Amino acid sequence: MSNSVALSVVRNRVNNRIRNWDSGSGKNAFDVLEVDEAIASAYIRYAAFLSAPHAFSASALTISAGSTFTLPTTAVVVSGAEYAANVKIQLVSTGEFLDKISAPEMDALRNAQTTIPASRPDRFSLYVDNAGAIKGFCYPAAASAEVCNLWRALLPDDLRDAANMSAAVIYFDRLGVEALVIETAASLLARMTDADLETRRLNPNVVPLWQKEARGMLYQDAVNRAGLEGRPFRERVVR
Amino acid sequence: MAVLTYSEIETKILDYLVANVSTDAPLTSGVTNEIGRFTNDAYRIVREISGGRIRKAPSSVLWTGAQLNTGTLVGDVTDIAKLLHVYATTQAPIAVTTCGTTNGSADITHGSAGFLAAIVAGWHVSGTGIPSNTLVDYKTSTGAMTLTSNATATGSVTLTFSPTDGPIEPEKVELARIQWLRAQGGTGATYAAPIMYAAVRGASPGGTDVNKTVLEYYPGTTGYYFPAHYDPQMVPLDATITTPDVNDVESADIAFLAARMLVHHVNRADLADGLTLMLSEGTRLGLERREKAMLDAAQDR
Repeated sequence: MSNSVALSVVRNRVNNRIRNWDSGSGKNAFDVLEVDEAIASAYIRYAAFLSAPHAFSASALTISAGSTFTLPTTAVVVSGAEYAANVKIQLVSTGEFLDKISAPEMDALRNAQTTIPASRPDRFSLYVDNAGAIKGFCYPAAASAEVCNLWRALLPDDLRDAANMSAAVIYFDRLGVEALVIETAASLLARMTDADLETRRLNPNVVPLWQKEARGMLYQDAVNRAGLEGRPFRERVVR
Repeated sequence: MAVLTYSEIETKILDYLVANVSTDAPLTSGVTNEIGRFTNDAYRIVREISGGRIRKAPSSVLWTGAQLNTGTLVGDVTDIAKLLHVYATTQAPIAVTTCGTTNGSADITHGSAGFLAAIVAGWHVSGTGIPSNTLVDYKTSTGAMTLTSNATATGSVTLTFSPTDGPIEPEKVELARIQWLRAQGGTGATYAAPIMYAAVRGASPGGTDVNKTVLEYYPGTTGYYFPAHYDPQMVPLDATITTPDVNDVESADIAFLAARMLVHHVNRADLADGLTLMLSEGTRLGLERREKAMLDAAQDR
């Protein structure tokens, strides 16, 4: 299922689908930036439907002596790490995974203790601070610095953060790429004026049709991922 | 039927006006005289109706100053009617020494296989004895190639080969779009190569830079050359250029249209309708469309 494609390829497919091919004459309905923005926006929207990609980073986190830590934002992806739901922390020293607990549970453990007992942490909780950083508490507090491996779910890249957007990589398999192309084309076509549509011999009635096609493929892609990851995925059959 | 020369066109005009006489001729013949002026007027109209032509030029010919600029290039040619395609490439011109040229021949040779693989058909060629706008027609080996024009001198010379297109074709946009992007610092997306351009006509105080083009491109990435394809302006017929740049049917239309324009000068207005009927359908429809646009103030889309 591993696949990737450069944004420039997706751009060309989108332009081909909406017949946006008058680059030399200056009569394109949308210029390169507009099409790329639409792709980048659709990519983030669609990636949100799919299970988040995960990354394993050895020794990526050090819990200093104490009970607080901040998850790193440096990157495993071009945009810098922004976290989705799943985070696992493993102590390098013992190989043990810390249990993830909720913030109220952590509060209950820390309640009425002016000094958190220091030992080797075996559980942690996370919260998002007012600057958007992912911070956490561990319990017990770390008696000394603990280097940890991180297994984390990350939000997909914002393609606009790439050093060269034309070469930005879209990490979708072929179902996802096709869905992205069709959805982006539909969104651009919906914005065309009557004159643009007439010039390109396009019928705006295809917009809902394309959107339905795209979302059908995206749904199937999500099913495939869920199956790969061994997660249940409910399908509803409507009679 | 071959494309008519000016002399043949003039003969036709006089024939159709029943004015092909040597005594008391009502019109002054010759390309620089009365008939010649009306012929060039008709030529301009027919050429415009017939559509554009394409000339391929390298960056070094089109733009002045440093080729590896940062967002703006000033043009160096004055015969651009319309830019058709602009390309961006990192391929620099290639100078090849000891190229063998022969006067009157389009074949050039290189004894040491110096025509590198990068030099391919369509590349521009310049150097001693090579006429302007000469391209590589085809290359038979790294030691021999044929150009689109004959050399005008024999010798062992240095020739410069330059690409006339490139792997990147930036998109043509309005200047306002580029100016907005520059003012706003872009949209947060970064591109390693130019992705769009606008071409504007530069002002020409004193008339020394008439019709030169200024190319604004975004982003203003360094390291790129900008070859282009363009529709060249019309070159009027004169003592040197005796064949119009049209096809055979259109060259006949030049004669009919010029004669049509001259009927009142020979008091033969009765011939006007007949001459109009002799125009080819393409030219006739083009004239009708122009007339309609003028009368209705309609824009020809």
